[in-house]
Amino acid sequence: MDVLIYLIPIALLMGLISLAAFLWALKNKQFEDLDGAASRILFDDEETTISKKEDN
Amino acid sequence: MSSKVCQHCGEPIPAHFKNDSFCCHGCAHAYKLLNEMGLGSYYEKRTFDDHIRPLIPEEAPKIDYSAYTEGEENIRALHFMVDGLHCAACVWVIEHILERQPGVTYARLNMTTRRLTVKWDQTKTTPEKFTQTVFELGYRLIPYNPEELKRKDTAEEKSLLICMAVAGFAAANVMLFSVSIWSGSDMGDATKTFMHWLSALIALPAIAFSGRPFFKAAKIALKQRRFTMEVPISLAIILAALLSVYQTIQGAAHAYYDSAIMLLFFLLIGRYLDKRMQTRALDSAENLLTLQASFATIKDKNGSKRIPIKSLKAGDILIVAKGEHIAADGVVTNGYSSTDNSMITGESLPQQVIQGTAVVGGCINLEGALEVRVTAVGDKTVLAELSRLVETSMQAKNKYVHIADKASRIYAPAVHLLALSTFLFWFFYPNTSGETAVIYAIAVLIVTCPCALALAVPSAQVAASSYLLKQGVILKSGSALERLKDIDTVVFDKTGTLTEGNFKLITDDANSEDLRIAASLAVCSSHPLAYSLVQAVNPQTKAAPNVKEIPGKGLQTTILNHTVKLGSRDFCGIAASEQTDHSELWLKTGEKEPVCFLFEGVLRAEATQAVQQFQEMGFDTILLSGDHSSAVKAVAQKVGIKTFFAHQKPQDKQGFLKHLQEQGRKTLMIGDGLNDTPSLATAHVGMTLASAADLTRVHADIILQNNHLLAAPLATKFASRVHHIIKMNFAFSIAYNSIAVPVAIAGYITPLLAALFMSTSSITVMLNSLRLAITKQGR
Repeated sequence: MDVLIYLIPIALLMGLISLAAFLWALKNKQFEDLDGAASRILFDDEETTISKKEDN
Repeated sequence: MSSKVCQHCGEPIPAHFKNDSFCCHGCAHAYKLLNEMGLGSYYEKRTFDDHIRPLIPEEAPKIDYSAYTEGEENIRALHFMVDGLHCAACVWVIEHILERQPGVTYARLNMTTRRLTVKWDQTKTTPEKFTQTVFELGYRLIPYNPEELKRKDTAEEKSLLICMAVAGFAAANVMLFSVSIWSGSDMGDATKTFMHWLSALIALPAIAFSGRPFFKAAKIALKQRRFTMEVPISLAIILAALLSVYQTIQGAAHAYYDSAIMLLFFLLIGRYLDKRMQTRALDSAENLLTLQASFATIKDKNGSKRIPIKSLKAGDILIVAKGEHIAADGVVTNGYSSTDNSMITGESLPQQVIQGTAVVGGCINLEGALEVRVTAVGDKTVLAELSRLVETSMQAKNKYVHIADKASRIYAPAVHLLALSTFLFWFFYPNTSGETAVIYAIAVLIVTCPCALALAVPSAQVAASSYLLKQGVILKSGSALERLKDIDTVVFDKTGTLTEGNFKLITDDANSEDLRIAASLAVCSSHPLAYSLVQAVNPQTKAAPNVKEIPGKGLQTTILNHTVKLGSRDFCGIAASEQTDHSELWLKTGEKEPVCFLFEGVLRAEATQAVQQFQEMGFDTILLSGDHSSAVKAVAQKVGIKTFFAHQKPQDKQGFLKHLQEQGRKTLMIGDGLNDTPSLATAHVGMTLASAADLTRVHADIILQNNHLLAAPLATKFASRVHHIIKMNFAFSIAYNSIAVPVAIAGYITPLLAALFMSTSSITVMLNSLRLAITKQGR
């Protein structure tokens, strides 16, 4: 049963980490625009980066 | 058919326009602009959304942005509502084109809410400059003040989500200990108590934190001496927690931490789903309202300026361009034209306006530019009058009692009574202590707690609304579906709802030469009859030379030294006679006998079928229209509606619906005009089309997104299915309770049993609701 001394804190810690991650995401407006986020990932293409470089 | 479409806006290119790629200079310019900026791939990525306004490049309006601007010294920020957003590529192109402007430091467009935030360096650019490019692409930016839109609802939704997350975390971890306790039959008492203390350590703070939405609501309810669902919920959670602490101190075998926190978690899910539905409905209504708060052009010393409609004053001279809405009631002081009043009155044909004619705000100016002296603003306009009629009926509608509230009114007292009788029974039962009686009573409170009951309605509604959204039906009010299942009478509007607003040429014996000439004149006009004539003859018709449009009368030109006229009866020199059943256009070539073309309104392709489906479901169908009786009669006969009324003013329509309601009928009103708005609000359920006016959409309960009428009977059928599922959900949770409660009263409930009952009933209910979301079409 001694193993509980490690396991319980580890389990709790993992839970707490995911809770903290969720709260962080919520606070950072990660859930504000779910439709946009889904499509945005498809649109970041090289074209943009090239012209940005030209600007500089 | 013209197969050429504009490369920028995707609209067909008019036949008389000598260009294969673009429909106008604006579109050509926009195309060039994007390619020059290296954003040409936009055209490959985008997809058009049919029910969103096409892209029409235009000049940015001259708006005074200073009232909306915020931010620090140099970096300023503005918030815009974006009109004309079709797809994700639109988001991409708007953000990129803004960020490439010198001086713009930040541009982020939220696709879900269609709201854009721009930050820029005041020393390098101005809002007028950077908005211009976006307008040149055909999108419109409407500034808004975020403070005005910020509601406590969004904050509440967020805090519910946080509560849910905390409760979920705590429930999972407490369950970890509970499962070990349940399965570890050889566990020593000391270990068990230690596990209980650990559970308490997690559960108690979590309950105190996540339970607040319920505790607060319960407190308010008790203060007002009402019994809501929150009272038994709060009581059960608090008592379960206290009992568990007591048991843990005593070193007893059972503690209910897991039940308490799991209960809270499930309840929060239900509460969150419910809130989300409401916020979504409100969001769409707000977007519409902000778009509506648009601008009008008025004359001033330096020519003209754009001001918000809100700040119009009586006496201002409005300049209304062709195709624009007239912003306020007034009298025409200059120009002649015709106005499309169908939104206000339901009349399908344009009305002629000349100097001195009174016009109503909300009408569309069809032909020449007009100057209108504003006579009434704000509360005094016809539009405001309509809004007032709407307000009063909305108040009546808000009194509707949701099925969930009805259930809780019976449920809450019943649960308390049950717990009390359990306590009394065991208290007076020989050989049991008062302590046992309290424990058993609390166990009753815990197992009866309405997890499944609280999930029954919101889970079904969320599943249903997501299914309906896919079918093009937007539910704007939370109780719309619930009310839709009650209806027994369907009232239709004619113009724009059953008919398309277009006309069909029904004269089939006309000389083809006459038709050709008439079409070559008609192609120069935007009058609906002229448009229909061109479509009927040949959409590629080339315009005759030097056609003059005489607004409100007709078109005129000279061909081979003959004056050719196309237009109204008296314009062609014919004495007015009896009104016919049909709309007509007359053609007079030189001294020849005038030729008459007859038209009739085009029914929506699916109108007859939709009416039939409603009749098959056993509903009464009624047609109410503001149009002339002959036109109304023709449509009614075609779609098979026996009861119809013509010449109905908005007040008449509303009165008619009120009368029906007084007879105990539950009405579904389907209409799209501003004149229908009061009746939509009065009806038990108001349904409108996406093409309807903003105000109408704001006050309807349901919007048919694709203007597809068959979605109306579909939604109605679906509503009774949803109701069936909700009733089933209630039946499930009552069935579970009827097993669990006797066990609890008898004192045999253990934490394991309580957890099993609670989770199985909640999960059954949720799975049952999910069936709605995966409904196949046609069921």
